[in-house]
Amino acid sequence: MTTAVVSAAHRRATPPARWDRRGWLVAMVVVVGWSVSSAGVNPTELVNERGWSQVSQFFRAMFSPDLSPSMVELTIRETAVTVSFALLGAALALAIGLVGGVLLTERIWSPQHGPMTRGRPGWVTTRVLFALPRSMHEVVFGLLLVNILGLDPLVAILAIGIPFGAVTSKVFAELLDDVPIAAERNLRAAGAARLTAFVFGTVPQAVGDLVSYAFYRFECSLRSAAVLGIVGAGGLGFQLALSFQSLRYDQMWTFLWALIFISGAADRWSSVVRRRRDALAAEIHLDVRRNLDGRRDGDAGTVVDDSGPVGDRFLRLSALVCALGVPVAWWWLEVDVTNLWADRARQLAGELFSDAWPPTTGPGGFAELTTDAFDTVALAVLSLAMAFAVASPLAFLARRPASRRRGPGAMIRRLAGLALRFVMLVSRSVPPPVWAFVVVFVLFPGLWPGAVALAIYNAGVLGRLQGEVLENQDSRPARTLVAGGASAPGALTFATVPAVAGRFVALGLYRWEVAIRETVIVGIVGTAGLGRRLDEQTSAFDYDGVVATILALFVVTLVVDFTSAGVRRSLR
Amino acid sequence: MQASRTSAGRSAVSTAEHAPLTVTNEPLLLFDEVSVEYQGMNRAAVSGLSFSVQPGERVALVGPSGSGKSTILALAAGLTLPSRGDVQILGVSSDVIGNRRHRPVRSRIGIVGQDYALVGPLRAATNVAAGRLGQWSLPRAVRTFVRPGPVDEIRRALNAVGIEDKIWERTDRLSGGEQQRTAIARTLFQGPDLLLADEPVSALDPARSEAVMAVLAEQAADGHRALVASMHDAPLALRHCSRIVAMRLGRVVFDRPSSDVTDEHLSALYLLDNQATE
Repeated sequence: MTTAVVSAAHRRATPPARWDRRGWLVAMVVVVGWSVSSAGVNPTELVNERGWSQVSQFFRAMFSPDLSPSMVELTIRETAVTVSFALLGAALALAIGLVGGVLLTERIWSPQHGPMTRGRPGWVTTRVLFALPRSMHEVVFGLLLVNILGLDPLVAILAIGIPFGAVTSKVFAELLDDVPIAAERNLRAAGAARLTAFVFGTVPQAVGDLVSYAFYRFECSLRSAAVLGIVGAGGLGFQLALSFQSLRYDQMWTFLWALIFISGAADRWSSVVRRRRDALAAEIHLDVRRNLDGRRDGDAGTVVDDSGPVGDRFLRLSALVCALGVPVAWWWLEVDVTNLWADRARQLAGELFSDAWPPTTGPGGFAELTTDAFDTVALAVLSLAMAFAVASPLAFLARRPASRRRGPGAMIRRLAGLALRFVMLVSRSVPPPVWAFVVVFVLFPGLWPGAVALAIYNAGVLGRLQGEVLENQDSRPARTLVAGGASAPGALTFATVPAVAGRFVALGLYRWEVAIRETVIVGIVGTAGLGRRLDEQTSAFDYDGVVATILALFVVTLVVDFTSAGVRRSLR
Repeated sequence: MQASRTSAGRSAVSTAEHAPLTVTNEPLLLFDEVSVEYQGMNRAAVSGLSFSVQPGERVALVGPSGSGKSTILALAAGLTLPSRGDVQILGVSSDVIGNRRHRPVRSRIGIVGQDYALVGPLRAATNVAAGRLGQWSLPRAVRTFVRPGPVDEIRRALNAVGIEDKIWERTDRLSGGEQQRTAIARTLFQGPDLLLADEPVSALDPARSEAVMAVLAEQAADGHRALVASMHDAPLALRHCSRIVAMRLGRVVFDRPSSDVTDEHLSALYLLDNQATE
């Protein structure tokens, strides 16, 4: 009977429809429509015409930053602080990730022989334990820790390290579980202890991916460190907030240029490290294939220098810089771990926790909490829809051309690509709260200013991630079509776009999950949703309300994560 | 230019007569003292290579791995440029064939790569349809992308290689052999004057290899077009091709009509092969 169905399907004159995808597409249109309507569509109620002069004032200051010697000195010092936050935060995240990643793998909980079981109590417990910190943005940790520790570098380090550690654990666990289990099974069967077999059989195969991801996390930490500064942790972000309060745009741009510089450098470093890693992985893979089947002629065109995985000088240097950077940053920030259990901190933490329990919904009751939760979802949907619509074409226009063609046309393209990449760098280096401050000049408070601010920021991040997908894309299908007579746009439509479309959407969904958490940081400038609520509650020391809001955020995050996972499954 | 007009709109595996080409004595492919050196390799991938392919010829490139067969095919497709020497493809130097104005010429080249070079997330039908991108305007191509073009012709091309039932499957869900046949179906649908195939039957079983080689050879049977294929199976090459070019270490060992190739020739090649690997 099955064969009858199959044989009928291919006789159709049109391809069979993928109903799950159509379903998600319709759902997406509905959700975006609902988000737009809850944000409002009447321009006279939304746009503040008189704000444009301030916006242009802000951007004009871009070209005349305050470069007085004292300012420059301050900027350099604060840049070092922000970089140190990021480095120590990422190091903590990595440490947590290495332990948590192992604990979260399915295989570490699986019995000696026999099938993997997901239902083991130990596995479930650790999953739940790591889900809560993952659902909270760094700023939420920052706000709480500032109240306990005051202005202490530990605030930023812990605020970055804890949630990033939880995310890193989850990703590490997935990477480790992706490694074929055969090697580990054989070791275990030969009598090796569970952890020994894991460390010898599984970890070495995933090491490259783990390193690559750790570098991506550092890149994220840097942006996070800037945002944390704004809520009072110190560094460039803190100075940025001070200059904004006194409306010194020229000083703001001094700090922003510093942020753009370090953010650009970190992005570049991270992508070079990851590309080298990929090249090495590809090379290793190729070697295996060559040995397995002699068919592969040696002229595939990929020629990598013959230094092995450990021989790559750039990778070794990067590892060395990181290893030395951690103690240097520790010394520079004068980190004192004992502050964590100082009497004052313990007392404040005790007060905070006794205030915080049981959670209450506040005067607005459960209804207001629900409304705010829905606003948060709408905010994230709007911002990501806009970011995706802008970033996807930008990623194509901004990519580095693969061919070394010359001539005026190629020159213009290259310059345009460079300019666009710079615009995207600026849009992701300027922290979202700063974008929100600027957007609020021209948009009346509500959902839109937060959505636009997050959209600008996420377009920069998404454009970069999509650009990486494009640059790592196999160019052979497109080149074959062109060699067979296809035009460049034809090859783009038939080969490149369909090959990357799935990855683009998956990245958009991933950023949507992150955007839900990020709504908190634009909420701080009083835009909308659970973020504004959280900000009001923390400034009023209403900790039982804070806990209720955090729980609401947790629920929203879970729902969004599950939805996103469902859509991504339909993309495969 | 005129030749391209005649090839445009040619149907896939149809047996209908093709309009005769205006230039018949010109070789479809001409290699003149061609050498290719890759960075970091201690010897040239091919060196001092001169040969031509005339209309109607079915050329098999045979030889051990690393002998330069794939490089020759990449050169003939304009995908690799020679370090020295000149390659003329359908009368156009490969240095300039990538130019926009030579698109009509390029649309007469059919390529079955060793890596198939298909677009994984697309359906087999769309990958086959991509064979005519050189003949279609962009709006026409985009329309096809949404709704696969001449379905009957696509079906016929897939049927010729025995996978008509996979027409609506996602290409990356197909097996290696099915993907290889999809790539071949694409060139059948394209109907090129110069068909270049890098190990076109490497992933197929013997019976299927025989059938697919027959389909490919038939493409050059009308005397106006040519097939150049690299192959591992020398007897199969002898059965379906009119000329054998044997390669080793980037040089031609012998180049003669299939009817002249004896068992001694082939075993000499295998002997060299063994010596080379020792």
